[in-house]
Amino acid sequence: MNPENDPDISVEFEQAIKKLALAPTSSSLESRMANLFETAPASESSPRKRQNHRRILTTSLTIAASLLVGFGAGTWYGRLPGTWPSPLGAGAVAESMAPVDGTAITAEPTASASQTVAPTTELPRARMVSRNTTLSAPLWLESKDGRVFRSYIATTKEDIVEIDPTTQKKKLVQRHMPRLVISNSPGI
Amino acid sequence: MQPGHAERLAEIYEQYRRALVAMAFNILGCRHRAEDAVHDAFARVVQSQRLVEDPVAYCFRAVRNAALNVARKNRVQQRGLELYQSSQTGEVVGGDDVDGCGNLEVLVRLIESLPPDQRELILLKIHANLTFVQIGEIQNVPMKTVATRYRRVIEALKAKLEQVHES
Repeated sequence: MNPENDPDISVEFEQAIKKLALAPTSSSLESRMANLFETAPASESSPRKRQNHRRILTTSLTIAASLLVGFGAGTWYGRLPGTWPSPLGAGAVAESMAPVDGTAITAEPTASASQTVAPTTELPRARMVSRNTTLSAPLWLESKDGRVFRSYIATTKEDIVEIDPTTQKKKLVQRHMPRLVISNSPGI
Repeated sequence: MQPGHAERLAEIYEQYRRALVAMAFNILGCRHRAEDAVHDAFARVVQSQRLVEDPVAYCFRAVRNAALNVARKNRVQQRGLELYQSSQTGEVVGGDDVDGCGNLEVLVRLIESLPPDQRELILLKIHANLTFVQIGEIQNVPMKTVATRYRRVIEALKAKLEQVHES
């Protein structure tokens, strides 16, 4: 049975109550409500929705930018030692960059080095070793006599200055110029 | 946004404004606060532009929630109710005697002596002419519960009125 048409409820009594007129609304409310409906936003989305859309868009862009930056850094610093591009090229290392004992080394990693060491477990990514120096992932170099050196590319940001010979005054040429250093020790 | 969202809300307000204010007033016991609650609730509904199945019930519920929030914040003490025009102007709308139910003032006094939730039920069912389904949605109770409560309220009112007549 539909409770809306319940015969138990006295219709006459309902009609009697219905004849009681509710108190009217005030003129101030009427004007406020008229103003509210007139100034209602006509666009597709409300201000709150627009705000939310803007916030979502900003967050998405931030995440996308972070991922892109992270991916870019990862593809550079996260390379396996075998795929790391040598700043020295394929040839021999310059004497000033050779290991301490003066042994000539080549920049290409060897198969034996790759087999004996699992480099990704040690230093998978570049790391900061000082305020302005970044250490690369390990670079495996083998000397001609078969010895293997674990080296790093240290990128140090330094200011390049020129000293005027006459006045002895320093002149800043370039701020924070990256400088590459190859070392067989991580503690540069 | 629904096309003509504000226009639809304006229509709902136009049709039910007295009942809406009366419902808020029933909770707050203050006409100014009740009207403020109605305005604030509609302002929120206009801004939200939410798609709802029953916009009438949604507006009533929004006003009810706004009034309850104000009541909670201010701990409103209910004063004497003036739900009906007769008690404001001193004039009786619909004649002194309503279909043999007796003096209108007596009926008004009886309704105003009911608990707020029962008054609200009468207001929504008889004055706003809402269905039990809509009232259930507004009060967040099942439709059958609303129907049962309503029947009890009407029976109680009739019994009280008979007592008044006998005395």
